[in-house]
Amino acid sequence: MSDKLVLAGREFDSRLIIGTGKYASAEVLQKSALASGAQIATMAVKRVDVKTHQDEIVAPLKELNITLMPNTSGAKNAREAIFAARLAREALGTDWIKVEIHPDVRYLLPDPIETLEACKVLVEDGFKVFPYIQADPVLARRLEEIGVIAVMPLGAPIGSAQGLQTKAMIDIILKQSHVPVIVDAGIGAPSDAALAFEMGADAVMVNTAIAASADAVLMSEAFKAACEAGRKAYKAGLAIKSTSAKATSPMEAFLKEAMK
Amino acid sequence: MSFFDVLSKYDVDKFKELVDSKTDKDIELALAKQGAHTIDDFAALISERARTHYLDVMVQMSMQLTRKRFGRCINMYLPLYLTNLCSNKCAYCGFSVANKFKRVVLTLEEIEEELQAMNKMGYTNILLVSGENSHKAGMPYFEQVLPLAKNYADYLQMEVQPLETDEYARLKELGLDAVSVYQETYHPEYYKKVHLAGKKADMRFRMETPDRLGQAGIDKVGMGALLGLYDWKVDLVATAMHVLYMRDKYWKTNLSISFPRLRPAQGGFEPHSPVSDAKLLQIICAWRIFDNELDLTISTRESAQFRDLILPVGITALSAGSSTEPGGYAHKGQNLEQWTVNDARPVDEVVKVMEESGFDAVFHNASTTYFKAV
Amino acid sequence: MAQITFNQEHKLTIKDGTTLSEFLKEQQLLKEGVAVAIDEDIIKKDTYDNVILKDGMNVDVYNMVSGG
Repeated sequence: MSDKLVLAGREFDSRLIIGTGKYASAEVLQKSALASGAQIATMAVKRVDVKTHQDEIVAPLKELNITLMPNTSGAKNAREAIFAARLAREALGTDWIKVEIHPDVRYLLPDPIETLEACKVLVEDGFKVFPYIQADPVLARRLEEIGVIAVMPLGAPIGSAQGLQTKAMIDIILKQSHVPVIVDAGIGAPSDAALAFEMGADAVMVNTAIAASADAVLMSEAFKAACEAGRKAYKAGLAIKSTSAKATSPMEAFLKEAMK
Repeated sequence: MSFFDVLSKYDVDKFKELVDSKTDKDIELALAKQGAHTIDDFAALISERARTHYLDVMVQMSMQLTRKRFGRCINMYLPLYLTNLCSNKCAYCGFSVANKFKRVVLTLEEIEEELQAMNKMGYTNILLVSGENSHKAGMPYFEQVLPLAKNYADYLQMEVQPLETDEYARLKELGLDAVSVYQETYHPEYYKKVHLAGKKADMRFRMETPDRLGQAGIDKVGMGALLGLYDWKVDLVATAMHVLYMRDKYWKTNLSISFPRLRPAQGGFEPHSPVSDAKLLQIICAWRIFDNELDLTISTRESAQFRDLILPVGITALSAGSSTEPGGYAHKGQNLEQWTVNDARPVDEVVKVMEESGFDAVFHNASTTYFKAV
Repeated sequence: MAQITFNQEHKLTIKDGTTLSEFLKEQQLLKEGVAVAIDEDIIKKDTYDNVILKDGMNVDVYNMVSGG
């Protein structure tokens, strides 16, 4: 039975999405991306820096047939995010956009109000919108109602590698969402990714944990395996925990008769 | 697309087979799940096999889940019968238009007397009940009654004829917090058979009431079937589907479930498939396990002994010292009751038993389930 | 000759009538993954040949970079 990830009508085999930040070079990024099996990668849009040379990342990723998902990182408010989204659309010819608005520079936590506003405009402008949000079930519902393609709740602050600190909230989002849920940010170890899948996540996104590891290619392989393992476990159904408890009287007497 | 449209796609009689087909494995899976219970889980939880082999486990689990979510608070509410005038002809009800007895519609003065008597008993959570008659007790009447009742109530509920969305919205402005409307049965043919005349014969209109309540933004919607009227397996599964539908579509609306069992009424209607005490206990546990956040309500339809037994298991709201006749608090015995009260203990006595068992009888507001707009 | 501001910082002097395409080519920025905004209006790629850079314009060229 096929278990493909479907986003905006497109099918993917891999449920691991990667970010492209903090890699040593475009070459390492490409090798790592290949090892991870990822079919979607995010990237930012910035003014060209004519002084320093920046590695080209678009071509190396396209070589691997990876779908590019630009993000609006750097935007501090809805207006800037909308502008960045439109630039990215022009630059890449894609209508996919990850809306990422973090005016908070210390923890890089997403601004929910600016995010909701930006998403409203971008959805109306024909974008396929993937909002990065706090693991807020109500915000997730509101965004779903305005037509985003998926929601991307954070597990912990970007780059913190703290794992699924927001587990209880992600759990609620997973129960209530009608759109795919991509757990993004804070995943520090392959076990965190596996846990997200065991809970029922549709996909996870990982950046720092791979890019900043001592051996990015090997870590990519680890994450690939963990994502597959977690997803399979979820599909198989987790083992039944037995419950045995006795009621207290006068319920006991009643139950004796009631269970005949 | 309303819930009526959703349910119409099913042959509801097949729900009986669904319940009967559940195995131990299905029951254990339902019990082990941490949330996101499905209709299959509910069917397993109300199966006969669950009763004979898992009821003790279900009771324990239901108790723990209720304590965790609601603590030891039980909300106290009291029904105020505004009228016993009804234009429906329901085969099972004492107020049926076919039954001859003195019909009463309380005047505002009489209502005020009742409210004062109810406040004296300690109640501020008031449930306005009426027979279904839009001519003599319709919107114009309610638009006068609600502001009056609001002077005596912290929380105002209604159990009257199904109204239109804009009517509910209007009543909300006047202070309405919750509305209960019981489907009685979700089986179309049987519904037609027992609802012989009156607006209630329109099954679609009745079944779509929770939808309209959700749209009108009413704080809480009370639902349920009349257990025993038709096959309880069919009606409980349908009610569970209705709950899932409401949770999904009207996620800002609180839900409350009642499980009235068919009781003797003037007219002597016999239940199709009676629900035993053991079964009702199981049903309450099944609801609590199926949806941890449901309000579960028990009325004085049930005996004192049974109510005391099930109170710790999953109940979150209770009435006591109730009267089901219009004017029954200020002037008892003058009018016909809708059904005979079973637990006739005065409220102080019921509260004493509750407190001795370690529960708080909450009369004023403070409850996680009754939050008010600030 | 016209003077434009390139990417907020650089004041450049260009020949009258230079098109956006020509300008990008000179800057070695006529490639994939690039977007341009002039005075904060995003320019559609298929019009680059027809857009003439004028004196005083703020030309911002963006590209895709690694991040997030």
